[in-house]
Amino acid sequence: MEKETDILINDLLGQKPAACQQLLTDYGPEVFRMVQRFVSQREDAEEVYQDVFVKALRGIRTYNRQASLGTWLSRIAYHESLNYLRRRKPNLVYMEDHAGGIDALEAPEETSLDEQTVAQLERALALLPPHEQAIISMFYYEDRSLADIAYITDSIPSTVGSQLSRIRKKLYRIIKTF
Amino acid sequence: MNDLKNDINLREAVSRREQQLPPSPEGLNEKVMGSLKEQKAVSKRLKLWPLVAAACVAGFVAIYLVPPRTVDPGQQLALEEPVVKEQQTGSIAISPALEALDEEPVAVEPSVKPEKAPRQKRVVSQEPAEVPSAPKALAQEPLLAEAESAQEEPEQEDVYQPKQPDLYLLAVAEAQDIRSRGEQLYQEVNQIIMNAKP
Repeated sequence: MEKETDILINDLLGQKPAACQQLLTDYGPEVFRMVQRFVSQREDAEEVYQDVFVKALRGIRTYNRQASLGTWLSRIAYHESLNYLRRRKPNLVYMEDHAGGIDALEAPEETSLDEQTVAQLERALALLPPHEQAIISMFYYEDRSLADIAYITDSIPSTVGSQLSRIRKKLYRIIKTF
Repeated sequence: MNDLKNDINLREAVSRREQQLPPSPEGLNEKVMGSLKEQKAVSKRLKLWPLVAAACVAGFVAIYLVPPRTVDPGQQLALEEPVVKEQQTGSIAISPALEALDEEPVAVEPSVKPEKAPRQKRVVSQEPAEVPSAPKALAQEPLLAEAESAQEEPEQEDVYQPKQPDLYLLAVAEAQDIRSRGEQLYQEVNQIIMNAKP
């Protein structure tokens, strides 16, 4: 797998159209998913998706193999989507933890599946800001490591761990209000 | 950390939410490939433009800042005739005037102007005004003769008249000069473009 990726990267450096097509086929769905977490409108998501690959192919020389190619692309998608939101969506209000004391809250240790809690959490997830939704999704859905999430969000693993903990507590605080 | 990982309710909620996201539309990758090709073509054009523009600017600066060749009008007249002939026949021959240019300069002897005769002072007679009319007319005759001789005098002298160069030949020489510079510029631009090509 690593060898295949190396060949793909070398071909991308040689600006081969087939390599571009391969990159889009292999990593396109992952990147599109990341973009959609931030940009719900389909046309806008397609525009951002296109920008991500244009940027990635232009900057393929700067890829230093610090993370996998997929993680590197996700990092570009994350920042490109955030930039898009900053440009286009200035006045949206999300549930923020300005009230304080959220760290003092204890999130329940759920060990069994509770359908009602799942439904409430699903609703609560929609109220989170996009970057928090992305962090939660990367951790719980994509099973990414803290180091990878830190690389994508341009942070450090310990900060990502505390962010995850805080977001989880926030979710349980939100569902108490339902 | 374990609390985070073991939260199966949250994991399930996130999983359900992610599954609700629509898949990437078909044909999107083809669209991206098309735009990538377009951008490549545009970037290639953009890469060549500055080089061509810089070459043109350099050419114009060279044409306008280089001082024109200073040639004595008399020599230029002698030079231009063989140039015109050369254009007509297409043969290249070194004109005798060009050969003469290579030789050492010869000091020009100053032309000796004939000395002018000193003017004679006019003497006004203090004699009484009553003079017969016939002798008066006779007295005026020498003055008229003097004036006529003064008019004839410059014709006989070797008067300095600056040679006026033929404007047509000057224009031809100027055109030839511009043409040679233009050819030089064209070669420079070609060389730059050839060097710019990968």
